[in-house]
Amino acid sequence: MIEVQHLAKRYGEKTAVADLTFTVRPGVVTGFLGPNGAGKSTTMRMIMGLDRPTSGTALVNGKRYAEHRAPLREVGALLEARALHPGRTARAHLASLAATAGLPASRVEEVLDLAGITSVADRRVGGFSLGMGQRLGVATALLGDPATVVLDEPVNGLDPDGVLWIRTLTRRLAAEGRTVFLSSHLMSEMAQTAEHLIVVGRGRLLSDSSTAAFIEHAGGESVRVRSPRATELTGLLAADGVTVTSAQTGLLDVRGLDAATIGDRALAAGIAVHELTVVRPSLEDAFMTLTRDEREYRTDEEIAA
Amino acid sequence: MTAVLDTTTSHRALPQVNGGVGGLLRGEWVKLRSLRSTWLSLAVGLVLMVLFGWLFTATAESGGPGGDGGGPPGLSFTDPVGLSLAGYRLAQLAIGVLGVLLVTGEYSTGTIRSTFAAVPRRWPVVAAKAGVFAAVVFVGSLLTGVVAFLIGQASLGDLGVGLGADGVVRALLGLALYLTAIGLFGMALGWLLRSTAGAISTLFGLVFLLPVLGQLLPASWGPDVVRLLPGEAGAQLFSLVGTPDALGPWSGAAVLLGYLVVAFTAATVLLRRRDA
Repeated sequence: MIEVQHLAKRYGEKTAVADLTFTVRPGVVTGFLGPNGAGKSTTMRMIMGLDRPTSGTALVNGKRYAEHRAPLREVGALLEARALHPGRTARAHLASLAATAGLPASRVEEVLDLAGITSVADRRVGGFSLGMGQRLGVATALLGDPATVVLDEPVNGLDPDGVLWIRTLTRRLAAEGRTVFLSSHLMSEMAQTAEHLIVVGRGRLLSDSSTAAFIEHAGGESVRVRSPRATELTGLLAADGVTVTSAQTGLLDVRGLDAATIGDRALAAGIAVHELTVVRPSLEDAFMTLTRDEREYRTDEEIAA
Repeated sequence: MTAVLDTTTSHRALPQVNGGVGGLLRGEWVKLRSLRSTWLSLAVGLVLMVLFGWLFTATAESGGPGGDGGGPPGLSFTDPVGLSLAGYRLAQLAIGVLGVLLVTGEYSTGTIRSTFAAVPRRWPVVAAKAGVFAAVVFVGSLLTGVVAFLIGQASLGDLGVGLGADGVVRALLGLALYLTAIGLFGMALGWLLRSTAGAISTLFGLVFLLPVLGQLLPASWGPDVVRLLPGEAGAQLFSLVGTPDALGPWSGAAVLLGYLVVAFTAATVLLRRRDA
């Protein structure tokens, strides 16, 4: 459980995080979404007790990070890719942290195995690919078998295999009852991984809802219908609460009716239907809708400057 | 990779407290020992110390740096022990730089965040790093000092003295303490400045450059400044032949210790406030 209350961080004149309040609950994967520079990493560093908030608090499992007696047992984090000394081997990196945190040496082998990097454990990290470094970062985060896992941009630099691995792993960690909080600026990735989304822009909270609700908020589903007699079909479908738009001849975009109803009506009228597709707005669409004001504001500011 | 993270088993099996002092020291020892640069810097510094001690002693009679007449102050036939240990000036360079790198390397690579995430109070990390490094440098410098002394005295022939001679043990222990202190001073500068270039320049400036520039200061007060510099004050720990301008061994040691206390205190206070 992560509880962030009125959290703010200013660097001189610049505000990185402004009055953020949200709660990350155990048992589900919670995504932390926002464009680069939205304050995601700063927020995560404050949760980890690394950066000092200008105001507000961040509690992890009920306490401030620094108040935990065995913090790595409570929270594990991947904060930035390659926070690793290039001259050290993967095993030495994990072994030093395990010793410091009082974790058994066997734990090092377990997380190496979990991250699939046992075979390169004795190689110097400097020779690692971005993906291997990222896997070692995840192994580091899980070293203390923590109840809360914080991952900053975990899929950055991963190949498709690695992306799938992160997705499966984070879901399993959540299913085990852990709190899983991961950030990304990749909306499509988040749509597939996170059940709950906390969206930020320019250091402010823009949305805190389930991923489904977030997408719903962006306009809900529509049905794409392709038919040689599209114009006739439009007449059949038109009713209160139903909007039919046509971007090109023979193609309709129907809102307010489900695909089954549309298909049944077309059949009853003897109209051939060549395509009937449910279209869900992408997370990108939802995000763009949500942040439009923010971005327009930014443009105004740029013009003013 | 299924049962590894099962909450019901492993979660409870792991200890609920940090590794304590022992864990901290072990962790820092693993970090120190797992970097090639540690051993490389130490080996270079200590080997140079032996080689230069040998060079000074071997060339003493033929008018080398230790010969009568020329040569820098403090290096003379009348001080065979000092002559054989004079290579320490190179060793201190390597050891000081290593002290800086062990800290700034964590900042430049970002590993400091993992470290502070494991130890959020932070100051125990400063202490453990210093403790482990001090132990390694002290042992290394003591052994190297003995080797440099024995080789140097052998090459001085009849003019050489034995390990049992007056002050020799004090000089060897004092030198090891001095080199350890310089290494720690580098470490403290690393914590303070968090930048390799900045910390190394500061260390060089204080230990190497200022004593030389100090020679150009007016004779009325220049020596008062120079003798309080960390290198000059600390050298009295192992210097057997006192010069009129220098402090005594105990006051020299106290001044050097003062630098360490001030630097480490400032570093620890800043560390509490700063973002990692």
